[in-house]
Amino acid sequence: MLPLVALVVRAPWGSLLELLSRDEVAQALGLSLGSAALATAICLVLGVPLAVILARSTNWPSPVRRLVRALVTVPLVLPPVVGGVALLLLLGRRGLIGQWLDEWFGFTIPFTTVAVVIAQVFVAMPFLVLAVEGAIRGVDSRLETAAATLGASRFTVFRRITLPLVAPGVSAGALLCFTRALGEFGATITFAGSFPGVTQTLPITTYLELQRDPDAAIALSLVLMVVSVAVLVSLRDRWVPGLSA
Amino acid sequence: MSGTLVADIRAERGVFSLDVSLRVEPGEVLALLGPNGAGKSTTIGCISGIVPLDSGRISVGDSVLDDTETDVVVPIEARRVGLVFQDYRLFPHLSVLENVAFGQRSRGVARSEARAAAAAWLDRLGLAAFGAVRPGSLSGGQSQRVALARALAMEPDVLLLDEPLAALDVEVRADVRAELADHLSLFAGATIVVTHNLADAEALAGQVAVIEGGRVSQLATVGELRRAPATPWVASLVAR
Repeated sequence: MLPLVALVVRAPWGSLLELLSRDEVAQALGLSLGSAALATAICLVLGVPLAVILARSTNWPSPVRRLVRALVTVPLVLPPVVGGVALLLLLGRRGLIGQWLDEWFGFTIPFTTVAVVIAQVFVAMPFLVLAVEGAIRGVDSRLETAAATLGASRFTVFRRITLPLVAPGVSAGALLCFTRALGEFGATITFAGSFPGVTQTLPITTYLELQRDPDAAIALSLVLMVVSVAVLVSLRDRWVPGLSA
Repeated sequence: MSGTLVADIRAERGVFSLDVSLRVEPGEVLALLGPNGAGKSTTIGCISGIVPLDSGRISVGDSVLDDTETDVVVPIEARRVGLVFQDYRLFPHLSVLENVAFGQRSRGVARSEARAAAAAWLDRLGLAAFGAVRPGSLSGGQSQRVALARALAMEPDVLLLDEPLAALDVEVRADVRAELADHLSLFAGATIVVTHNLADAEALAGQVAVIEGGRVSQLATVGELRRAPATPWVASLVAR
């Protein structure tokens, strides 16, 4: 808590509005919110099916299950810089896949806004997958059996029983994922660089401003902190599903 | 279409083996009475398709649900077997009306038609006022009636009730029992009620099949059980 107190105490309250209304700040804020929202949407599309597969994998051989789970969790424990380097080696101009993208389509990913989103998806995906998987495992399988006795096919059971019951878990996972994407720094600066308006997200701007104009950096930190706390508060409400009979 | 339920059930669960044969005519209510762990719930689990048979045959009228000789196994969702669970298992995220409409909706009946049928069942069971509420706010007796309405609304060939009164408080139990006996008469097919309580069996069922240790030890009316208990367990039950 103490560092956060320091941040609030030392914040340049008088010039806050002026600092936050600068063009480069508005630009970074827009880029951050947009890319984090897009990254969250991509994580939802890819992560929910992955979570379903993981949650329903109890009859797989356990080495396979552990391997898949480890692969999903790796970005959680990996230093973000290493993630950035790995993404460069995969998607960079000379990367495993990147060289073909460049050769065939003349399309390079690094140091573009696309790279920002990819870096965010990479680091934030596990938060969503683990939250959704936990929620699916928590669904009372007796309700699913009851639905089957009423004539519901497996797909109908999933759509009308399982999915609505995990909805709070999905939204909690999406919020965590969004916050992680919004705060992403290491993988982004490594893989996407810091071009103002293109790849310079809010955390990167904050870091750069700290050397140029500390007051602006504090103001930006305050914005990021407020977003994080807001997410935390909304999760406290959502995490209690209020669905138990 | 309802017909006679004929079930020859053999299922092994570890050291426990179940071997029972039952026959229930349309409109008849059979009670499965027995101590805990005797195989009552496993028996109706087999009929509903939740528990697989090791060998045997289950049929309702002309339709075969299980036959291990000819490798027939109808999946749970394709059986028309209505099941009222001991713990009711109402869907917490759906309204009472949507719970009751769930069976028909799952079978492809249009939403408005399924809702109208569900509303009629709620009306018949004295639940008309509760259609819009979530199951979480219902009392035990109301939940049990909703579970019954949900099972009846799917228009089953067979109705199975697993300890329908066990989860209720003692004060309301007698009232709910009398209501349930009335409501069971609304159903034209074969009905099986699982219970370990003699008074429940007497109020709800004509015939009683006593199950002990996975076998039917006596098949009789409650009156006959009282006059001529065939086993020590039945004797101690009627002596209470």
